[in-house]
Amino acid sequence: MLVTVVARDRAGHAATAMAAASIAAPSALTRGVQLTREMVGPWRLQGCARGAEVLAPLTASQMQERLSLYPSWGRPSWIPAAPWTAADLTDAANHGGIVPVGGTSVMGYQIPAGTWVVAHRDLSASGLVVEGDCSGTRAAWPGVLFIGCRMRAGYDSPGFLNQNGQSAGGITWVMYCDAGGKSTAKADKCETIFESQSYMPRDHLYVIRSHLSNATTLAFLRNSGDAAIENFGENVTDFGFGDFYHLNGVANSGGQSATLWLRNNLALARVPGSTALTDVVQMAADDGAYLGGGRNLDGSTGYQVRANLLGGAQYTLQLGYDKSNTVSQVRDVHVIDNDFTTSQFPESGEFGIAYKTPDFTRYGNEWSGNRWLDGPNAGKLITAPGASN
Amino acid sequence: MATPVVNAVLDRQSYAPGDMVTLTVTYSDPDSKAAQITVTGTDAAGHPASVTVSLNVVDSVALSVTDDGARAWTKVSDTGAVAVYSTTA
Repeated sequence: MLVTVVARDRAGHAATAMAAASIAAPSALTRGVQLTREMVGPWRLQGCARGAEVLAPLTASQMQERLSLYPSWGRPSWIPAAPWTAADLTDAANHGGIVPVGGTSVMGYQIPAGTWVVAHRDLSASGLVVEGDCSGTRAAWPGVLFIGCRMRAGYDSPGFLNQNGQSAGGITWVMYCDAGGKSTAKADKCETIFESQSYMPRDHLYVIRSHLSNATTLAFLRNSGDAAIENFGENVTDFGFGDFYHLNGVANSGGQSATLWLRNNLALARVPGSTALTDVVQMAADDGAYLGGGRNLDGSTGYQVRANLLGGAQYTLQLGYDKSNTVSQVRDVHVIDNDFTTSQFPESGEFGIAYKTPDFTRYGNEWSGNRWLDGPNAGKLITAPGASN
Repeated sequence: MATPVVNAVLDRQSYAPGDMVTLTVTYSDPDSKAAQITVTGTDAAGHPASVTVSLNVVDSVALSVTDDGARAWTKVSDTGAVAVYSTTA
């Protein structure tokens, strides 16, 4: 923060003084249990009470402009051409720009040069089409950063972001956003908030420090190396329609080589009138085996479910050993240092902590440091569940 | 007419988002100065009498505070030589 003071006398003679200070990143978390709703979302970025944040809306018409390097599109008119760096982070009047040469570090995450930045916007009028380099047919596209934005509408699959069946070829960052349906009312049904599209290894989706709520699935991470970090989730619901919905917290789908669930607060209560959540963290077996070996944003490998607060659903964890996946095809799964709460059920999930569980004694799988947060066994380590499907 | 003198100091070197920020501004204008006027009268016998009045010549100074984050700064106090402003990081 750079402050400028101008002193001017009646004759117009002026003198200037300046003072500078840094505005630090929010304190580093070590576990999801430390994360509160107040520590995520645009209100945190603007340093105000939730709901008092100032966000400039885009109209549905404006949001028809695609994020695409297809010649008839290009950078949308509402993304400024000005350089944007982390120094602009908390400026609610700054609505983005382009990350300059050298990139910029936002809360410790290195945002590549050339990334388009959308900041302090209310994007609830519509979804956005993000085509990027149109499956590699155009110039390289580093990606887009949505920071301090709101996306609250009744999004059907694939959610707020629609890639029109194309690989964007870059990273989609979602940081300090407030996203999901407008409410849990039927009229506000939101199927999924963010869903990546299995364009591996070109595309990545990183959802960080965001408030995710009012949806049947909070985030569906289908590229290798996608990540959900330090998000606060709540109100996963079928909106009372009575149809069958598979209600998840944060999921991937199978076939990825790496996925990161890190320090999220996902103690998910059943919404009154809704069917039960199936799981809080889901490694689904719909799109292939879990052979691991891929690299995550934090440098770890494979499937990392680490240091989260977890609780609720029928089973809190679904871990990939299902359908056509054999026990040897679920590898490199690391469930480490999570806090499981009994706030919803005595065994975390209604029927237990985990199901469709890999073999934690081999294949590079790891279960360690997982503890009960509360209840009669508070503080005690939880033993690894046996392999089962 | 001379140019004003101004100095600005923040109460901390770093803040977390949401913290209160206090800025203290000291300022003056060299044209502002105290003066005395002495009037002396002498009668026909040569007896003098004097009267002195004091006055302050003030060249008023207007302050404006802005920052690179477009924050709203609120003036908390102003003595005419020291002004205190606050905002939220």
